[in-house]
Amino acid sequence: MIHIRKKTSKDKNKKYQRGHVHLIIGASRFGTRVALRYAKAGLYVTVVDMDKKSQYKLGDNFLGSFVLGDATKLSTLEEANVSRAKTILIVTDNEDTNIFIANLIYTKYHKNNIIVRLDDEDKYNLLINKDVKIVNPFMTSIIQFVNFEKEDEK
Amino acid sequence: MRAIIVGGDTNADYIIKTFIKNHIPFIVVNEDKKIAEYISKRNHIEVYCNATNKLYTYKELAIENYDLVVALENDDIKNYIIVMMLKKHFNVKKAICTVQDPDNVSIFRELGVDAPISSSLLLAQRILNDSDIESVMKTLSFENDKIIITEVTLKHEYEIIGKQIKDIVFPKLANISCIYRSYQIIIPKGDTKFYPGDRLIICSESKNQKEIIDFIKKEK
Repeated sequence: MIHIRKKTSKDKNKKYQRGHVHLIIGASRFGTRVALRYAKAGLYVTVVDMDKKSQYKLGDNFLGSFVLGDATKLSTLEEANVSRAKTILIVTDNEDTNIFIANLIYTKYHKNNIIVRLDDEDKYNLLINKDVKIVNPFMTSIIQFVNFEKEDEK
Repeated sequence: MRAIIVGGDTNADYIIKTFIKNHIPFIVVNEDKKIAEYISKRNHIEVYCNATNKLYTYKELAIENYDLVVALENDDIKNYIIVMMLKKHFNVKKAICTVQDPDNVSIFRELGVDAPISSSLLLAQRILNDSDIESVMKTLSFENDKIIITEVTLKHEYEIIGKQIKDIVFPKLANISCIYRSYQIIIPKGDTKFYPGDRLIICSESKNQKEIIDFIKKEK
C-alpha cells in the first residue's frame, strides 16, 4: 500500500481542519470532483482508490492525501484514518462494493456520516445503517427529466 | 429443507449431486451460460441463467421462506450481496457463502452471513491437524466455531496419567465425552483412569479450549 501526501508551498498557508478528515472512497469522476471541491474549501481530504493512475485525476495541485488500496480491507481503511473521518463518501464504480464498505465501516467504526452512491433501489435495504445518505444518479436524472417536462408545460 | 444454489461451477455441481442424493429440493441460479448448460446437462435439472446479484432474478423464482442459500461466486462481495439480498427480501433462513479471502470469514460473520467458508482457511486448519500436531490435538467445530470437539492424545509425561477422573479438578465448561483406547470406546466415569495413548474426546466452548488443553498437557 502506498500513502502519498502531496505538499506544495501553499500547504503552509492552508488552515486544514486536521481533526476531521473528509474521506472519499473511489476516485470516480464524481469522487474526484468532490475531493477537489473539499480541498479548495480548505478541508482536509483523503481519497482512497485501488487504481494508482486515479491519483493523477486529482491533479498536481491537490493538497489532500491519496491512499492506494482496496477499501473493502480493514488495513486500507485504517491507513486512510477512517476513525477520524467527519464525512465518508463511498463512490466506487461498483454499487455492491459501496454497500459492503458502508456496512463494514458502520459495523467496525460506528460511523454515521456516510454517503453512498447507489443506482439500484432494490439494494437500499441492504445497508445496515438506515441513516446512511444515498446518492442515486439514476433517480437524480429522472427527477431532472420530470422537472424539464414541467418547465415545458408552463 | 429447501435450498437455492447461486453461482459456482464444479463445486456447485458437486453440491447439487449431494442434494439430489439426499432428496433435498433446490433451485439453481447461474449467470454464466456455459456453466449453467453444463450443470443442467450433467444433472438433468433446470438452471436459471440470469444476473445473480439482481433482485429481479429471484422475484420470478418464488423462494420466499426458503431454508438455505449457498452462494458460490468467485467474488466475495458479490456473494455477500446475494446472500443478504435473499435474507432481507425473501426471508431465507440461513446463508452460506464461499470467500476467497480468509480474512473475510470473520468480517462476513459480523455483517450477518451465517456461515462464510474459506477453502484456504479450511486447508490451513487441515494441514495443522494432519501435521506433527496430529498426535497431540485435533479440533472439529460446530455452530460457527462456538462449540468445538477437541481430540487430545495423552502422553507419558502428562500429570493426569494414572489418575482417576474423580481425583482431577477438570476445568469447568468442558466435558470428556469419550475415551478411545485400544480400538475401544470408553464412556468415562468417576473411577476411569487415564493411560498413555488414550485419546480424549472433549466437548467445550471454543473460548475454553486453550485452558483445557493447557490443563491436560500439564507435565509431572
